[in-house]
Amino acid sequence: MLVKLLSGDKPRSLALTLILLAILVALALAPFLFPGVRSLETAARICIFIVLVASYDLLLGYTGIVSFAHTMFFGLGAYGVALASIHMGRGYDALLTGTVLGALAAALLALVIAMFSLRVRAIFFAMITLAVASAVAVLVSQMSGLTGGEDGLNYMIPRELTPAFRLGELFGVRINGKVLNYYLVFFASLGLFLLMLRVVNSPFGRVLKAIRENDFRAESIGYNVVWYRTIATCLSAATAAVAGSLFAIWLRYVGPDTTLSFEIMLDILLMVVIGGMGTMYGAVIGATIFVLAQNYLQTLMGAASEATGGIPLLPQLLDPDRWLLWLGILFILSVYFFPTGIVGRLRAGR
Amino acid sequence: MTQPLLETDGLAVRFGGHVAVDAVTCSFHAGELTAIVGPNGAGKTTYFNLISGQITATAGRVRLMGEDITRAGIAERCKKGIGRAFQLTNLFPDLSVLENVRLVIQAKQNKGFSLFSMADSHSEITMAAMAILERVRLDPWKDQTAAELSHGNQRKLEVALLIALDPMVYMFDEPTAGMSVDEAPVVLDLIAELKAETNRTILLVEHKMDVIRTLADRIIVLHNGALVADGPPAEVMASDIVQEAYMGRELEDV
Repeated sequence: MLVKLLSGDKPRSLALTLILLAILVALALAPFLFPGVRSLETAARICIFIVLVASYDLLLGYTGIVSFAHTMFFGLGAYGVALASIHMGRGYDALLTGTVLGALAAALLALVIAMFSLRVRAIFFAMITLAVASAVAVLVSQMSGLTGGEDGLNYMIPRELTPAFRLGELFGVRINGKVLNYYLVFFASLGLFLLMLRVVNSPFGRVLKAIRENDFRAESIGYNVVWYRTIATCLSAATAAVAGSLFAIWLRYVGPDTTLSFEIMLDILLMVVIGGMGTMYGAVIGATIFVLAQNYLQTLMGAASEATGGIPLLPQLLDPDRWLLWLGILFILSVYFFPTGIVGRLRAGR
Repeated sequence: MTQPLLETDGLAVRFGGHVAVDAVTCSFHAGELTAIVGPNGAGKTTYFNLISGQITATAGRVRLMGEDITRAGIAERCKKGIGRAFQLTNLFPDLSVLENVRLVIQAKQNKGFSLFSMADSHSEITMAAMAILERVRLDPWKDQTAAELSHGNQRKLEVALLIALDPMVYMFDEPTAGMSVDEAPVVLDLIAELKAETNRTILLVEHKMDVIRTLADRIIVLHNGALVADGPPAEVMASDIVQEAYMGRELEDV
């Protein structure tokens, strides 16, 4: 049963199993284990980024396609929910419509990009995604009448998913709509992740691996490589869009900086590489570590800076303003010591 | 005479000013093993590429069982029944030996677009793949990756992929190249077995004359891209043109 849920793709390492279980339990019980607005915010972000990074891994790690448009697809889903909620009015039907239309739009756009570029050479795909993603980001910030421009959009979601909806207390934690919203995000993310795990372990996933290994031979045993790459691209785009929709439902706000920015694209790349490409579980570990670092490294460094107050130079180095420096160092170290990512390292063992 | 399985009709390709394959008209029948010989650079591999689709012809036609496939893509030709093993080993290096063969069976059964079933739950694919591995005696290595195999076993796996594909037209490009003396017979026996299944046609590019002598029903000779001789082995080997072409090659090699 459990093996079937994981699609037979076991972690294959005791340490990895324990880490994944710890992350699962921590996220599942986040509202009770780590009460507080900020920690719940972090937990939701981790869930959403796990899906987003896993969908990128489907493309980069399993199919060997480099795309720079993943935040664009993410943004399409987010703006889909925002626009639907504004124009259809607050309601679950708006959330659902926005999510479905966002995912469809993402898949369609991915299809067009793929048809134009994958036919030629996979590298053109990277270039075209870069161009299209920049164009879309500019469009979104310019068409302020529709998209709110740089300010983004605020909108209403059903009351049951907002902090204003109170349900009472459980284990000393106040249960409100935000907690319900968190569980919507959590279970949707878990479902999407398991679905992707199934896809990469399906016959289709095996073909993707074969194409990554040797596209020439894959073609000559009868697989139409362009079609497989195209479908993987569309699937990955649609999943990223759904992750965007969840993000929009969670934040009740969308803006270019939170969904479309190139910085997020780089973050996704880093998360895949740190976690381990082509493993799916790498997305879980990469996203968790990275989002935690983004949110708590500054706090941690602030504390460290104060603690080392008497020592020369150290407080300056540990100043919270230097957090990006340390994140960069962490990244370089992790790539140097774990070239196959954390998951690859743990699986190799010893 | 029955319809040939495969025909090439005035098939030609030029790269810039260089004519690599020059109007080759030839047909191949079921139950026949044709050896294609010629010196290096004679266009043997290019002729193969034109048939299996890696290169598109600039003139002429390729027909499979009467159907024109000159413009068809590689995967499409494969589906229609043209299968090829490559001269340089061309496998999925980081996948297991079993998975390499499973991929071919899966392609053949059109299961590639099954997105939500578990690959390993398709026991019919795994069983068929195991049968092939046993046939080429690679089953003890089934869980190793293709890259971990010895060179000889990689060549065997290359042949196994083709047998798994079970095409109408088998194309072998120097199947025993680089194999040791005791490894080569396994592959050659396999080809002889395939030949006994009379509804297929086999094309074999080979340099070793003893191999050709034992296996081939017919030899065609390519020289500078053109078909210069075609006939039973004894006859072709005795002809002046082959003596010249082949001796020429061997002199070049020395």
